[in-house]
This record gives sequence, structure tokens and C-alpha cells, in this order.
Amino acid sequence: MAGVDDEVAAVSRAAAAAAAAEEEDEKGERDEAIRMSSSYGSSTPVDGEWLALEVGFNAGHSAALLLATFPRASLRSFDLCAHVYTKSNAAWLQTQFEASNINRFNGTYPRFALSCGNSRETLPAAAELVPLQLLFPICEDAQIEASLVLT
Amino acid sequence: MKKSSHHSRINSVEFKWPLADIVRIYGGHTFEVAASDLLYSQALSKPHALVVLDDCRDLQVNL
Repeated sequence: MAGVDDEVAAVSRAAAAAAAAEEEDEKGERDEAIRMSSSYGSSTPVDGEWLALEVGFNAGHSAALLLATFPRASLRSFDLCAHVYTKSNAAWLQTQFEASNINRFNGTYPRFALSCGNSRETLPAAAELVPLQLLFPICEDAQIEASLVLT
Repeated sequence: MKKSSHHSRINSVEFKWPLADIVRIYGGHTFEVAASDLLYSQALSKPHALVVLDDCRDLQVNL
């Protein structure tokens, strides 16, 4: 009987040790994330105000995280807007961060805005460039996939 | 029901934007689309901007 009790105690100790190790790992990851985000924020230029350019907004999860995490960051997003939720989510994000748009950047640009359309047209238009025809003849599959993505 | 009007404020072309400090490319995941996005993003970002390129794949091209 004592042998069984010892075995149970050993399993319990092992489980407790594993739980403690897992908790320590989670804490480590959390601390690392905090350290990285602090470093990320402090290394950004222009008095801590900076602009992120995002190609691929989709549902806006990353955009929401960025805007919520970095109050002095702005985000300029581009997306095909092929999904029904993209525009509505972007509009919701604008309402959430609308107050912080006011009196910032002298009204030259907001904290967040989204441009819809094919990025091979909207990006060069935004940069006031003439769109280039990119050809990669060896990527036949990629071209097929690209045409599917962009139509 | 009143239709929401804030869609009209979404488009960013009406604003005068500075060059970006950070670029995140996570649009079309093929080589051609990602390369195009990367190329044009360069014109919209600062010279030493941080670029994050996610999930670009092409099994037929070895870079």
C-alpha cells in the first residue's frame, strides 16, 4: 500500500512541477512580449509618433491591436475589400479611434484609414507612381493564384 | 433604418500621409503579389523602415 501511496505522491509532485514549469514559461513569454513591445515603442521615431503601412487589412484584428497598443501610432491600411466584413470592421475601428484623431497631426491624416482595391493599383496610386506590369514567367502557379486572389 | 454614412470616411486617399515607419505586407500570399506590394510599399515608406513580410510562398522559386 505504501508503494502505491509513494507512486501517487510522485505523480502528484511531477504534475505540480510540470504545472509550475508551464506557468513559468507563460510568465516568461508574457515578460518577453512586454519587453519587446516596450522596446518596439521606445525605438520608434518622431517623438514616439509613427505611421504603419499595412497591405492586407482583412478583418482588422492586427489593426485593432496596433492602434490599441500604441496610442501614438497611426495606421494606413490597404485591402482588396473582397470580404463583406472588411469595410464594416474598418468603419467600426474608425469610430473607436475617432476621438484620438482630433487635434492630432494638424488634421493632415487620421489615426486609421483604409483604401479598398487591388493593391497593384491602389499602392502605386497612393505613391503617385505608374503601375508596373510585373512578370514572373517561372511562377505559373503563382500567377494563377494571384489572378484568383485579385479577382 | 438609417444607413451608416461613415463608409465615406474610410478611404485614405483624401489625406496627406507622411512616409511610413513600419510596413506590414500580409495581402496576397503569392510571390507575384507580395513582390508587387513590397515594391510599391517602398515608395510609401521611409528609407530605413521596418518591413514585415508574412506568409509569402512559392514552391517553384528558390530565392
